[in-house]
Amino acid sequence: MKSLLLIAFLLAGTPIIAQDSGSKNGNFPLTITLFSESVSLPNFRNIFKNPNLGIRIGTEIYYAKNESRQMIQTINLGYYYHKDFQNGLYLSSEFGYRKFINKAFVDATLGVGYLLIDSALPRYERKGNDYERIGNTFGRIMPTLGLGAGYQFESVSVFSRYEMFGETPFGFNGVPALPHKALHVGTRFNLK
Amino acid sequence: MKSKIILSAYLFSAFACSNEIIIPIPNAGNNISYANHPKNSEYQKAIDDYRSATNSPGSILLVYKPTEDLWIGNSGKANLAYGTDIYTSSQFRTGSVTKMLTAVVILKLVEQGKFSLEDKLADLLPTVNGKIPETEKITVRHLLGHLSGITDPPNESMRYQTEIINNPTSMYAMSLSETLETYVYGKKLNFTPGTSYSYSNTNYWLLGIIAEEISGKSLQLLMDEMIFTPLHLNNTYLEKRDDHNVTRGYADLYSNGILMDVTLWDKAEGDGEADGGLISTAEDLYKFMEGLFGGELVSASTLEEMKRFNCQLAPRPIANTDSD
Repeated sequence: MKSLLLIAFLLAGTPIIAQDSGSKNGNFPLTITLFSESVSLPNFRNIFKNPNLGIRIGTEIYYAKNESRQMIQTINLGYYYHKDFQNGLYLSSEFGYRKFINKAFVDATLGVGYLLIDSALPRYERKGNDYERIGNTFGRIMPTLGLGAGYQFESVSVFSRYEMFGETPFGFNGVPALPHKALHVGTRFNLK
Repeated sequence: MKSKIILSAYLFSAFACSNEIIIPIPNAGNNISYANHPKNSEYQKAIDDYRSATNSPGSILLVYKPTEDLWIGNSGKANLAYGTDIYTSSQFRTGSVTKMLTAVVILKLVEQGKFSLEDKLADLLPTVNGKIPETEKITVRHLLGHLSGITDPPNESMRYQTEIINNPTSMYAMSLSETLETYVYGKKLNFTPGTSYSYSNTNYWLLGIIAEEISGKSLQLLMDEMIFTPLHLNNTYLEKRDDHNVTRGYADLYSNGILMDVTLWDKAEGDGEADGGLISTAEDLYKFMEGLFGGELVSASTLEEMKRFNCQLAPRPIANTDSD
């Protein structure tokens, strides 16, 4: 519940500090990405081998933006299916910086989310001397780190993004977070 | 806005679809009772207490003393999905107990004159030369005693560990040569062979390959001929099989007291392998120990060699350093 409150705070309490006119992508653009998810350390190995697919939709708001840079706050809802391990549904928010070089851009984001997990592995809780089956759904905090690059067309941009995120608390063998990686390809555009 | 709502609805409906693994239904087991044993109550309390203290869903205890009859007891469940009791005769994954049987196979081959304990890995398995350092210094004795310094992916490689979680089916299907290629070849030794000690499953992977290449037989067949058949271990095997009756594996993955069924990971890591793939029962393991120390498997001199501690050096702590 604490984590939900944290996310709610992040989402509700984000001010738009400054906006320049003539900037790229208007306010509240829609972002859609498809991604491949794995449990992994940061690397690019096997990212297209037996991919676990996911989809993320979101928007972003701007602390500052002009023709050459943007300081952004994203708000995202995502889902992935990881065979024989878990389904993940998450709500996240990221703070980021985006740098434009003509029409091309790169960005970096740091964020946190709430990950609702539907485990593929049955779960059991001890009751006295026995174990009883319990539901497979539980929540975890989801720290995220992303690096992306893309290209801005008139009102639409396309991009790719490499993301690391964690499930925490974890704790098996003393490891505090279970690491995941995701490679996104997506587009951002205004609905108007 | 309408698109956002539709997409959100899709995400929630997708989440509602079950991703749960299918657990095969086990057959009814066969419990052999030792309730008439004079110390039944004492031993049963010990195993019940152990299970309670360790949060184990199921445990089996075998007690044998020269002054007493054999006792085997059981406590808890073998399969929580179906509430199946664990029995004194239940099969389970023995893990690294397997290494003792692999060692016996190697020592039997040494007795047969196929090779010696001082023969070098470079000569016995030329295919690993240039892929594992200093193979010309690593002996069979080093491999048996964990004195080789070769890396141990199951305990040292985060990459190996996360890939077991990420795709156990793929790891289960991976051949041993692919495993070596992916996680062992090209890695530095942890120390010069013979100068220190560090536990490594790779030593026994390599011993398994040596036994198969030198004999021309599978390790399963060698164990059958050398151990299982002579000792009548009728509920023990090494190769990958349909295993719906084998006791399932559980782990407190999130360290919160909740157990999760991780049998897929256990299978991916060990099944069929010389380092940890043996499926057996408490009684069969007892027969094996009786046979081994009773001189039915190897000669007295070989047994003495097996029991001799070969390295007085302190174990070298190995950090979990492989982050590639």
